[in-house]
Amino acid sequence: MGKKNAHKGANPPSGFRKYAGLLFRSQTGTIGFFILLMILIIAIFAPHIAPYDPTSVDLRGMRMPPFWMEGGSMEHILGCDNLGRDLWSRIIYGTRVSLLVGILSVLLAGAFGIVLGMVSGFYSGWIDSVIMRVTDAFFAIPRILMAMVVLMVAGSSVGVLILIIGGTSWVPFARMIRSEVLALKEKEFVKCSRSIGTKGTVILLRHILPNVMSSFIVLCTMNIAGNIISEAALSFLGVGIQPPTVSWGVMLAEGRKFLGTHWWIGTFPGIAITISVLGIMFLGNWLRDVLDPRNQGIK
Amino acid sequence: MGKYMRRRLLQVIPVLLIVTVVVFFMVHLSGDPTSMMLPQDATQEARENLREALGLNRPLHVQYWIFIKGLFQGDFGISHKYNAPALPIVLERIPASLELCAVSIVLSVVIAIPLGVWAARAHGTPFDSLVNALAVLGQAMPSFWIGIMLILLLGVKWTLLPVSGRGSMAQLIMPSVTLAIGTSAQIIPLVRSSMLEIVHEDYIRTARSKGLSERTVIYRHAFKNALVPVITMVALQIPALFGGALITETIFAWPGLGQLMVTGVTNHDMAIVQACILMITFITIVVNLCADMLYCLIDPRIRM
Amino acid sequence: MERQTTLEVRNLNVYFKTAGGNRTQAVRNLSFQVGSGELLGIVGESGCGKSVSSLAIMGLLEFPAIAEADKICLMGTDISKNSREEMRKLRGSELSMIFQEPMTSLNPLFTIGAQLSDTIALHQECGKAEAKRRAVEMLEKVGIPRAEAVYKSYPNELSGGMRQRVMIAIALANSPKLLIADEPTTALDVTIQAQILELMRDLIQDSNTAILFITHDLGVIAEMADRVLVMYAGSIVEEADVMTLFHNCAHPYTQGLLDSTIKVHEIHDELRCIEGVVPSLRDMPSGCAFHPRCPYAQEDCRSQRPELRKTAEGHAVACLHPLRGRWNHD
Repeated sequence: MGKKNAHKGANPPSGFRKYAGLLFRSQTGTIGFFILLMILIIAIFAPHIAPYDPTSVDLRGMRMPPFWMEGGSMEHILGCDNLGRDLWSRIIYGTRVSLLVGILSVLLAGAFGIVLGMVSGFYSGWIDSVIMRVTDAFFAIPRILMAMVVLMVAGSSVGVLILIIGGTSWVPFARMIRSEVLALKEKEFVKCSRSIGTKGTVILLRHILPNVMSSFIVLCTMNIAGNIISEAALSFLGVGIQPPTVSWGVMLAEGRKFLGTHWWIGTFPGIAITISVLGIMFLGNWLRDVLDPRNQGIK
Repeated sequence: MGKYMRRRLLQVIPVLLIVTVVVFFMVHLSGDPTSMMLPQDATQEARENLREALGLNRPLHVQYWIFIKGLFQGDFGISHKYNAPALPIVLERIPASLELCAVSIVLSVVIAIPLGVWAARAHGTPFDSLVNALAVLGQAMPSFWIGIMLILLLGVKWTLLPVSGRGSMAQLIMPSVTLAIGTSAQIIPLVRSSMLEIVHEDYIRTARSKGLSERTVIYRHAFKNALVPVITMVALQIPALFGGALITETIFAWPGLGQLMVTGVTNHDMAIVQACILMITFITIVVNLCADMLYCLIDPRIRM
Repeated sequence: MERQTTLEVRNLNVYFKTAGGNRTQAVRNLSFQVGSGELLGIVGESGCGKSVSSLAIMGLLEFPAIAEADKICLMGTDISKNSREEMRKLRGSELSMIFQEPMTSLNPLFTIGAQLSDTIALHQECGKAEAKRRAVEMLEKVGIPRAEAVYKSYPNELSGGMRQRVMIAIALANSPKLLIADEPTTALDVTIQAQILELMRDLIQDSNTAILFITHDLGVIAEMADRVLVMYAGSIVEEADVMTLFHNCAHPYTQGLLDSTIKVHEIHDELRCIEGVVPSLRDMPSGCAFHPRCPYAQEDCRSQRPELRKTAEGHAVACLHPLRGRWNHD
């Protein structure tokens, strides 16, 4: 009751404080937030956190198991890979590529998708049909196949990887934004501003854009998780990040070769991916609950 | 079928056309295809000859026209690796891929629907939370890592199942489970939330007011309604499933389209890669149409 | 009257469990009875506990709502202590209900026929073919043209009025002893409303079904009901036969309701209305729940809760200062 009144009162907490308050009231939201924060810190300060150079080869530590197993030592807490590189350091450096590709590709896909979705939803007619058929086509071609073809022809680098993951993952953005715009177009406030002669572009940018932002942010967050997995998958298949650059996908591909004898090489990178994706998904779920106007007041 | 299905069928034609355009231009605009077909130290002359042979010196639209004409005649190009037309090689792989994907879809639905319904029925209990947690975890784990872990545990450590190849039922288990885990993790929350929503619908109250047993109310009246979004969701998952199949096939040496495509990419075999991507996309579109048809059968509101 | 009592409710209380183990009361000591062939109207503003009470009688309340009653007697047997399974068997056969929203009360994915014949097959224990024959018969009885075709169609192919006819067919399919109609016409156009009311009147005239007719529309009450309960904030404030209520009401709330309905033959300068809103369950006023809105409230109304008292044969009112002669309707 008290909270409710405070909300109605003359001084509601400012945006930031309100969301911070809401965040820590949600268990999974808090966990997600701290996981993401941790990954960001690890990625930014990787050289300071990692005990070893991720590419330096230590012959003595070759295929050393993690510390709790026989033959392991605290020098390499997660053990070493087949070349004697410290797994923990490699995982730390791996966050950099994952986050970089994940975030930048989503920004690209989001920008592309929101423009297509808004245009398609707002100006129905032939332009809508054309955009939607192109969207259908891009939806039907499995993303990973498309990415593989381009990476095969163009050669692979982090930049190409970002472009191609972004360039193949805009479909859900375009579809969702379009359907939201279609619904918003029928709302009274849009009809109102039309009736007083506001220009279409102004309605689109002033009235519709702010209203699709919350779903857009949620979708962005969720897609970062998806694109991190895409990057790992492509690198795992050997067409993404190329060694010696460190990536979780590359590590998994290497670990797969030694599965029979050295399980840890292929296990820990997967755990790293799972934890990161889990954190981002938690945060995304929380954002969806908070930003969805239908859920307002529940949390 | 009604107007809706006719419209859906008509939409497929432009989509297929756009798919060919997209694939064609991706291949031709993202780089020089000859650079990866020839050794690094190939002479300029050899390069030119290959370009001429492949018709790469002609204007793009002419090349596209030749490409599309070839497709209609069943000519998907010549594979450099196999030194044979690409199409028969690709066609040969289809049954394996379809088998894997069909089994995984069935498996994921069989896992997801009861779990989702039971979680909804047990709303707020520890069982509900457990199912939720498993679903989130299943979504967060990359399928290729799940595959690797299955091999590690079931194949290597306990040697319960064969780790690669196709032929026996035992060989089918691990790859299909790998694919099904991710897919069912996507479906479970949807089944759960739509069941939770539907039990508060007016028509469920009506069904109860008629004195129908709780079983009938849930498993007949509510369930059929919950199925509608689930079918949509499964249809949306299909491209991702085929994408996932590509990696799964590679991990388990399953002789399907995905594995063929990956080796095609490693061998820089353009014809095979193009044929694979077109074929997989075609199958995706057809399967999606089937899902739409099913959707129509269940929901009379769409049929009109 | 030599009417047989179909339903007798004594001291029905409905609570909502709230977070923290507290409970708020939605219906307080509701007692009434209704005889076979009688149509008892229940009026009140939305949120006064009408629908909740009817769901409680049907055994359809869902958590967090809980019902307690001294007794709920159907045809002389107490059903208030019945198990869920026993209640389920009564629903659809002895007790049935028509809901407010015809547009959403039918399952969109099943044919009309399937939804009508399943209740017939369930309670009359007959085969599929027989259930279908009876279902079509029932559809004809509620005035649906081309009943055979409608039997095979889906709800989305029917209009709101038609769907409500189907709902009535479902409710009356097994000749129930008690029919609860919860605002059956509110969601319909006025012309359709009249048709549905007429249909209901025709159908009950030649049966012994007792009807609880819940509405907020006094016009409908005047047309349909034999006796009326007026509810306010979870309690009955006045009970009377329909003539008494319209010409000689004793509770200020009833007066307010009557005043705020538009009458064609009288021209008021302005439409009168009851000031304020129904109090929320969480902060019920002390004393008489109506006193903050009552134009005649006196000091004792604030502290003392009025009990329902009989003032004449078939007329009871819960007011400390009932209107008697003070209000001249004519």
